[in-house]
Amino acid sequence: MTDSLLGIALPDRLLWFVALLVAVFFVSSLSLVATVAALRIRNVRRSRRWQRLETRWEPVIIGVLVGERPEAELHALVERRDQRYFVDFLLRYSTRLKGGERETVVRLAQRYLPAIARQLERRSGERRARAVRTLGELDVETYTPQIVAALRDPSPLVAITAGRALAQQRSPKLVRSLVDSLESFELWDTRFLSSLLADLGPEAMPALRAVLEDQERPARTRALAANTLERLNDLNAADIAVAVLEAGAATSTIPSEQHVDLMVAALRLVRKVGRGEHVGTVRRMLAASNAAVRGCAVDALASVGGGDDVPLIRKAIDDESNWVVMHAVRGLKALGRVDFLQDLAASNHPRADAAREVLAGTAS
Amino acid sequence: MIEFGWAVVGVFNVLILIYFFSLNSVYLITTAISSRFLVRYVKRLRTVDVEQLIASGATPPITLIAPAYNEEASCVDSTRSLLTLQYPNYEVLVVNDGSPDRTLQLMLDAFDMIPAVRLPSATLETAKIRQVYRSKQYPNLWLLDKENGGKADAINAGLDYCRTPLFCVIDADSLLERDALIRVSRPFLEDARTVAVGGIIRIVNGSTVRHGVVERVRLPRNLLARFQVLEYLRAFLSGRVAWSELNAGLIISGAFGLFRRSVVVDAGGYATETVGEDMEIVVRIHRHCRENRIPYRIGFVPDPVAWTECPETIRGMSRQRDRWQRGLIETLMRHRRMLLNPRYGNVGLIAYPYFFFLEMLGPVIEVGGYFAFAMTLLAGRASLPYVVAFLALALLFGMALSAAAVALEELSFRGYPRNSDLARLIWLAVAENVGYRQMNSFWRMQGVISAARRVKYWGQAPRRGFRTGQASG
Repeated sequence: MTDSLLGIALPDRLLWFVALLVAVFFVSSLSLVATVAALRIRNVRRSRRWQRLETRWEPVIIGVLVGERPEAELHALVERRDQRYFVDFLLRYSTRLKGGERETVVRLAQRYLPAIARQLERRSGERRARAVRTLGELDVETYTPQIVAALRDPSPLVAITAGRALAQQRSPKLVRSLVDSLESFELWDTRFLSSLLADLGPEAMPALRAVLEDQERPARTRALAANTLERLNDLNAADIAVAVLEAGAATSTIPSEQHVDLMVAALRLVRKVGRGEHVGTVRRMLAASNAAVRGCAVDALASVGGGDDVPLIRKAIDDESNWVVMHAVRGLKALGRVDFLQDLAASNHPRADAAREVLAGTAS
Repeated sequence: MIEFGWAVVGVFNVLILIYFFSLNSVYLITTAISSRFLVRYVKRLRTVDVEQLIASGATPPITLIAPAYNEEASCVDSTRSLLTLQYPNYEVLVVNDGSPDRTLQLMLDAFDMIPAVRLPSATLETAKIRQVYRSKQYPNLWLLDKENGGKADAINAGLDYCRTPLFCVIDADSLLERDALIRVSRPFLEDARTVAVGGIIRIVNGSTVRHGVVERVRLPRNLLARFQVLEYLRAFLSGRVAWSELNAGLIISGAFGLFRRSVVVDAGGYATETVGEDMEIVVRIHRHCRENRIPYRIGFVPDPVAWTECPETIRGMSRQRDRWQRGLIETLMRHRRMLLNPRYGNVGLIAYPYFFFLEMLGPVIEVGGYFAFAMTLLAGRASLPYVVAFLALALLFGMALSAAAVALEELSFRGYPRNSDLARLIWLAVAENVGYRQMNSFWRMQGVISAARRVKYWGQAPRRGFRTGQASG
């Protein structure tokens, strides 16, 4: 027996199959609607419960912080099933507080942290990252081994969370673990990473210098070290940066993006901490094929060079890249060559606008 | 001869069935991928401290490029809202694309703008720049006044004057949530290969806007706008999340997207000869990066929100959908060598075929299908039980997918806090299958016809502007 749908001959049993599908989708649709309702009820209940708990805990924790109430009173209010939420509650306080008050919050959290540390065994990377963040914020000293181990976690999120937790400790003992793990963060933005590493403070400088010097390490990691040393104003890193530039200039192949990043980072470091004796290397960089490298070379020259270098910087005004031109006019302004810039601005020179913009003080 | 005609109708009907099952299967798969991602993403957000990110000084500088054409109703409000964003280092660059209305004058007056000099950083060809202005009140607010060249041309002009590594394109009539920039920039911090990221677009009609900030979220009162709320939830939470997981997203909405400037400039900037410049640039970035072996990621994150006003009239909607369909066709035809080409990975083998066969040709099959369906029914050549069963299946399939999108919203961001709004969304999931979807297909079919006739009309819906202190829409 056959029947037809829109003129297509179809066997009867297909009708049963379609009917079955209809039933399946009917049940699925109803289930989804029920899910939406259940989610809403759960969310509302959860939110009300949290609100209720916070209303109960808030006055007591304030009393504990100002020393008017004993800590035991607060612990007595925390039921077993609310412990994780209580830790979250303390976490929010700890990020807002400093000094003795923060220490009190950390002490309050301690008895609940072993349960949080067990979360590091969970399969979900997000849960492990959350646990690392909590432990890092609330008791990094006790849980340092676990957090250091998390630097090698297969989840990049866990590794970076651990890195951030350790960096904020500013402990010289942790520098080596963190610097040795830099390659675990290879996907992360270097600007973000250098800001994180700079939190380690001056104790990190020798290890970072070693990374910058080490030609065996990836160019990206070395660029990261240079950026961090720049943030830390490491005067002893200038010679290494110059050596990096010399080695880079000697490379005959077309520079890769990572290689350009390393050269740019080294030039920025020289601009910040370089000395007059480095000027020869910087001048050679003005002939680089990459505009970003030339632009940073102009910046560095304006910083470490002397009056003899003004003609070179002026010449950069005719560079084909407007980026280099902007670096050049800013450099000339920094060197006090305002008269020259005024003449340029008043002229019909194709780059007169750059001078006008810098003189108007609107260049960003 | 008549029998031959019926044979053609029969073949067409087979096509419709294949289309129906393919399209819904793709939706089902993308919804499944999205739900898995969103569950993880919500947990991931708990490890992120937005305040800490802002304080870290690690956030990359961003230029917000807001092209404006005849935006006198909303340009001042939306610019004011852009100036209050929670981000440490950003510039706002409004590009007045030769608006004949009072857009320029309103901007000059409202922000005390004076002529200024700014050297371009790139040399993308654009219509003539008349003057650059800078605000005396807000040093990070700039305005480019240029001759009319279209939206893509205005963005290119903004790109020429952009000096930051990232730029964000936002419609001049959209509102960004205060932390939207920090949230949308996060993928760039987490993965240095990221070249573009889109955020979610939500519909502002019906919600309360005060001083450029959406204060109270409500469903619109207008039925067409309500349907669009559901449609946007489905498109973003079920669709774009999944395509982004596959690194095969072909669209970042023109209303809100963050891009790496150097990559867009190297790819040649926005195409001015299409009305779908937002899709075209994303497809071109895929192509540019794949062809030049540049490691890259194009992502979508569901938490940064841009609010936008949607059309509330049939005329406004038909124009918008016509334009979207034309943009889709122009882009897909322009880059058709990517279709089923393994060189382009998931984009060429999965996303492109989906958009090409199901989204681009979809309206033709759907609208043709309605006619074939009606003819077959009228001629009595169809079995009633089958017809009823298939119609029920189509309705339930569509309803299940929409309900899943609402569930994803409730699971993740709970954008509509009122229970009545949630109930309405569920009701809309049923109601949209009868009428709205069919109208949508007709509007998209109009787009197919317009594309075939090479119509270039932008088809902008009139703007009402955000109503301060009361429900908009």
